[in-house]
Amino acid sequence: MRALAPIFAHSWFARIVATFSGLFAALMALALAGVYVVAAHVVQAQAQASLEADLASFAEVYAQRLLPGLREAVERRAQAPDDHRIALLIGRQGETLAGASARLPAALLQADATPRRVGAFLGMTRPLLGGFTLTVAHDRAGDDALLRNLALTLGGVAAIALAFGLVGGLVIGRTSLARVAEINATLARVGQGDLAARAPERAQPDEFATLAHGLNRMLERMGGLVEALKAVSDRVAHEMRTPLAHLRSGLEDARRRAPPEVAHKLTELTAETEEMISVFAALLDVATTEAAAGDPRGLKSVALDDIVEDVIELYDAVADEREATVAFAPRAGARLLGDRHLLLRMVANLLDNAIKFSPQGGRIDISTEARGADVVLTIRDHGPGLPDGFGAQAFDRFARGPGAAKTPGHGLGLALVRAIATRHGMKIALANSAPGLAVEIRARRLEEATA
Amino acid sequence: MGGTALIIEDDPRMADHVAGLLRGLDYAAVIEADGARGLRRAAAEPFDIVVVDRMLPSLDGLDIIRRLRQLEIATPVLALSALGRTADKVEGLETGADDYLPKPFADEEFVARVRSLARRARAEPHPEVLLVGDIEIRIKARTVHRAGKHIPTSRKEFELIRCLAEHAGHFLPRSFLLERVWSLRFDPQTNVVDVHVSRLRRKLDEGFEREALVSARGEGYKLDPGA
Repeated sequence: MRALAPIFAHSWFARIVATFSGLFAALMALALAGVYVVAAHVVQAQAQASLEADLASFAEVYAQRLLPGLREAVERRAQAPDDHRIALLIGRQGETLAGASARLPAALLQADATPRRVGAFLGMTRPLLGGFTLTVAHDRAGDDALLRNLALTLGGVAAIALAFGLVGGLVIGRTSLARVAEINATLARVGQGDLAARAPERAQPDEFATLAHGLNRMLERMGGLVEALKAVSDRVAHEMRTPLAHLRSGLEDARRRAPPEVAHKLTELTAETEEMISVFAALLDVATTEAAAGDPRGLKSVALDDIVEDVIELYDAVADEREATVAFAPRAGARLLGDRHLLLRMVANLLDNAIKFSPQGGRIDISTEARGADVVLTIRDHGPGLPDGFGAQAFDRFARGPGAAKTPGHGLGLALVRAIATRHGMKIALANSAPGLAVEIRARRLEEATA
Repeated sequence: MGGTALIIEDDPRMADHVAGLLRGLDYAAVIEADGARGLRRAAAEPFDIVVVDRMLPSLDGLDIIRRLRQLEIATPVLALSALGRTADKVEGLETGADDYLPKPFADEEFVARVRSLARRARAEPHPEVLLVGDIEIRIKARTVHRAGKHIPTSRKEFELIRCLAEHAGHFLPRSFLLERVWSLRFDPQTNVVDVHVSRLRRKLDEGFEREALVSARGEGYKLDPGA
């Protein structure tokens, strides 16, 4: 029962099935018990009525034919083989005059006006004129067997009904649960950022179909809005490039002709313009990389370890400046299908983040390793890690952690990392590894034969 | 330097700006705003350099380059584009452009690239020794000396000083150095280049009165040959 507790705690259907099966079983037991009691009562009443009729008919015989007639009738009864009715005639000195004395318990032989149950017998004893006593009894073995059979049958029916109730409930529950599970799976994928996920819709117009349909319509609308938002930002970035190019070249022209004090200001403005340009360029890069997802064109066989080494070489001076150690353990030797420049950029952005968030003198561990058909790249720093609840959204455009205001950047680095991973069909996982953040990127390895 | 340059660009302000930069390098620059007309001129006249915008009315910039190469015209071509994507760059270079520059660009970047193209077109032999003021760089031996003092350099630091020496006296922007030294066609948006340069500068200028490696905000870095 304890093992079932979590099922009941987490499944509404399990609770419903259990409750209704229990209720059903209790009602069934009550009804069947009633049937049994009534049946037992009827059997007893019938036995009593038959005893009284028996006694009356023997009295009639005695009245008409006196003792010899009664003895004869009682003897005849004793000799009837299958009769469960027993008669016994006892004389004045207690001697058996007729009937089967041995079978009846002595307690039954006391005179009594009402039937008594003793052992397996129901019996009545009545004194007759002349000092004789007549006992008639009913062997209850047959009745008991009947009632036992009845109880067994009723119990069997109850068990079968309960089993049907439980199995039926479970089957209905499982069917419904499977449909709920489909909807839950869809919601889980949406939660992980896959807005293209849809719940399967069935032709049968039931409550689950309505729920799935409603969910899908909502997701379509959400997806449309997200797409529109992206399209607007991408469009803005694209449209801004020409005016920004003019602004930049205009500033440079002006700076060349300006007196030194103005030139200094113009240099600052140029730097600001460059900053704007780089934000728009990064936005466009994210957009175009995402748009190319699933497109194999431009992807070639590349060695992941070489890419990581190139990036480490690029960042060695920056790491030195922060007295950070970058340790690389290449254990994969794997090639994968990728765009070298994009992958360099992805690893560069991740290492850049790792160095940025590392404490002075910290250590960054990078490793590649083969896992089954995949290759896994892990970059682990010893910085503060991600704040709670800042998981999947770290990959959104312009997403910046609460503590990131002090560090340079626009929150586009990880957005680009995700876009590049999506482009390559890679999976990214972020995990706080106390201390620090571990980023794990999993990609399909390229078979050596096709490399 | 100097010579003749053709600019095929439909944005008049950008075309004027590029023409101004080329004139600064002593080029006589002419502008064509239409792709088809630009192609005809590039095919008919002997230019020393052609600057082509990627997106043009009537004929795409990449098509112009492709046609020129089909006609076996080897004039150096610098492609410009508002689509500053790595993939576009690769496509542009594979089409036959000699270099590819995303707009908007820094003037120094454009100038450095034109200078590189011109040097390559003149097929100048790569000198074995580069001399910049009191700095001596031996290419084969991969050594750097300043006023006779040996300056130890890492692999990339040597590439960096060599690139700066080849453009001595001119500012080189970060993106240019990234591409030439690290073969990276993207901007990591951090100060990686600055940190490498300042490390090189410490080695190079330590103990010397004159700063050989100078930087200017918004312009980049320059190896100064001195007076």
